[in-house]
Amino acid sequence: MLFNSLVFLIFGALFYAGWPMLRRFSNVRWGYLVVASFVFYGWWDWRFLILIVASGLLDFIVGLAIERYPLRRKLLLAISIVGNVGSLATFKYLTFLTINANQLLAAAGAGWHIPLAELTLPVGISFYTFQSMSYTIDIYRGSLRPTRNILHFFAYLSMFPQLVAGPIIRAADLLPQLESGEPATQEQRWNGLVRIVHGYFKKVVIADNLAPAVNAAFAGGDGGSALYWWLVVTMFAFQIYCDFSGYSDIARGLANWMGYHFPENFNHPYIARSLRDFWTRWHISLSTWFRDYVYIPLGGSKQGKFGSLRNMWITMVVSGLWHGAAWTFVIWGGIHAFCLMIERLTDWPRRISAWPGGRYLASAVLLTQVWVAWVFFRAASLGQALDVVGHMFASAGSTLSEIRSLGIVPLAVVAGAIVREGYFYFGMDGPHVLSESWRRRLDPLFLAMAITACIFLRGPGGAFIYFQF
Amino acid sequence: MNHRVAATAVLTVLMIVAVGLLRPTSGESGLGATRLWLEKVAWGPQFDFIIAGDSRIYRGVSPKTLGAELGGRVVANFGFSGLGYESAYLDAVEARLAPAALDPMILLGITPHSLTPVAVRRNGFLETSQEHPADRMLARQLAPLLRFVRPIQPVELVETYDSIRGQRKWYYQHFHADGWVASRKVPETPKEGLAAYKEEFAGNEVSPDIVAGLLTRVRQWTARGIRVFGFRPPTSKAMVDLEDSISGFDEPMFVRAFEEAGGVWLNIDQFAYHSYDSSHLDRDAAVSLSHDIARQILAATRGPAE
Repeated sequence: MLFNSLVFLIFGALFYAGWPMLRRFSNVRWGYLVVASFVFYGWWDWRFLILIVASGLLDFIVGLAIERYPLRRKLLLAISIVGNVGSLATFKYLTFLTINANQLLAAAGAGWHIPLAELTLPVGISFYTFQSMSYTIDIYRGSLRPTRNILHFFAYLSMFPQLVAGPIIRAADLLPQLESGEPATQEQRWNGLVRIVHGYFKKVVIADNLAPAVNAAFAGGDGGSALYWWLVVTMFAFQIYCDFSGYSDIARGLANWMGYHFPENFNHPYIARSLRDFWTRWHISLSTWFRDYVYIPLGGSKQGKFGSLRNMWITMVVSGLWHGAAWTFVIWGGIHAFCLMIERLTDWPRRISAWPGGRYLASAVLLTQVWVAWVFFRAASLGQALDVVGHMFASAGSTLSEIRSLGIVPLAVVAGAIVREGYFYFGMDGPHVLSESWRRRLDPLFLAMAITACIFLRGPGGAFIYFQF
Repeated sequence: MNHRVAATAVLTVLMIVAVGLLRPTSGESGLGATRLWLEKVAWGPQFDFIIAGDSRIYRGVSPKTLGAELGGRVVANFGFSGLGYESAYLDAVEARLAPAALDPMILLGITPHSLTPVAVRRNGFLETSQEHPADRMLARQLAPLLRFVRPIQPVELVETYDSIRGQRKWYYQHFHADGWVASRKVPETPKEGLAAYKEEFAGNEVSPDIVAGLLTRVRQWTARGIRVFGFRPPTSKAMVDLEDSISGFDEPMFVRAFEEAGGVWLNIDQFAYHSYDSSHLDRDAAVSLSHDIARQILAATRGPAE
């Protein structure tokens, strides 16, 4: 079920109509949440519910077993990781691995190949697998006590607002919240509504209006001047940001309406001052997941300069692979790793920012890195990505008709998005012209305008980009 | 309830109603685009005669006219945008014929594009029929509301500005319940379709496999007593020249194979009907074409003895 679908609006209305009555008793509350979440997920394809249930059951049982048999906790953790990574590898990476193995076999002159098993990628598998795995790892580390109630566990794992595209919530954050049956406060409801509307606005007005121009440009592929491709990649940068952060905002708002809190997942990443800063603002729940469950276990930054860089490279490349089973995603992670390495070795953002006007130069360099990496993330193939990057840095002679071919709406939308982020970049989000009481009075008007815009200015609808991960 | 939430709800309803009422009017009438595709997919086995094909068919052939000429047959236009002749669509065409139809007939509009791989992979029929059944049902039930809140296209705003200056552009489309979309454009755009089609055929020529699949189906239908007619929907001369030069469609060869498979090919004058955008016929030309098709079908079905 998509957040931006009619069915979801009805599903949401029914769910929240029942929630105040059913939230009071723990088992009823959790059961209601689990059933609703399974309906939400099963709407897409009920067969893949089996996968969530299997993955969840494994970690639920392993969690209890680790507490019961502490001496065997390493073995139990290994079972959980093999089970989760195995299911992810099968459904997400098997085709990719088989294709690459066959290429190697062909290069080695083997006269046979491994048959391809083309499996459907279950929506959100990367998200719920990571969420499930973090539960067992935290129990293994002793930072979390397992829940003994299976409904409580599945309410955490399958909670519909964040099930298919995050944010990836840690059990330590959500399990205690789920124990509460307190109704949402008025402030939570208002904040939730604001988040939901902002999320929809980002998705349906910004991302969905940018998508056709980006898709057409990448479908065409060849030709185009540097200016044209910089504009296309800028559009994609804002499309993916608004698409994904929009989803996170809606998820957070929906949780607020239940009386729960999901942490911030995006914090204006394009106004970051360095790439390291960027990664504290982009997909925060995933970045911190990789930090806590990959980078730090590898040794983090406590293994000297070389060891720390090695660990960072591994983390970034694995993060790239997490996004998709293709070399373009690996290279996307690699570009970020390379740029982070240069940044760590030279500390250039701080040095450049000290120059007069250096802050703007540093921002330009940072965004260039991020934009070039986005090309690899979006391109259909490595060849296309290299071609586009080539055009970005080599092709001159743009024409007005070429720019206009992107469409007046996407151009206007991306300009608006840039202005909006500029507002934060230049620190204009500080004290407001209007007093707090006037703002409170006018907020409903602004929000109503945003909802009306979502309805009448929505772009050609589409699924959220991160569903495919 | 939170006062601000309630105030937002009230203001939102007022704004939606205001914008919905004051928005630029479109040239759309009848069922409306989305509703028509949903209705078509929901049609049951209730027709004697099905017209199949792409947008040149759903804009170009009026079932009402055809049915009247054919002695009151129950005719439906089952055309979809960008349609390609793939098996799911052909199954659906057959499934719309009433089991009790005494003399079931299918009319296939054969455009070069409808025989290409891109059209088979991505078309309006697949797009609509692959939606979740509950989504389709909801969209059908709430169609009037959804039409009221349909997005405002930027072109509508431009048109409103033009209309203030007395230069209003209109794309009249009446979505008939029988599947026909009567169309007219003011002013006309006689070269509009050419560039798009040129792009569409790049690396996407007529596929022998798709042709073979269609002919196999024609053979099966005729063997079961369904009369199958085919024709190339008329369009502009520029479009025919373009398609003949780059689509890889060999019409004489196709017609021979079609007739060998048991189909009846209708020889429709390609250039006798008016197209408003180099691809589609306007509503008057569509009515005229429907009369001509009916006359040819009558001639073909009476046979030499009559």
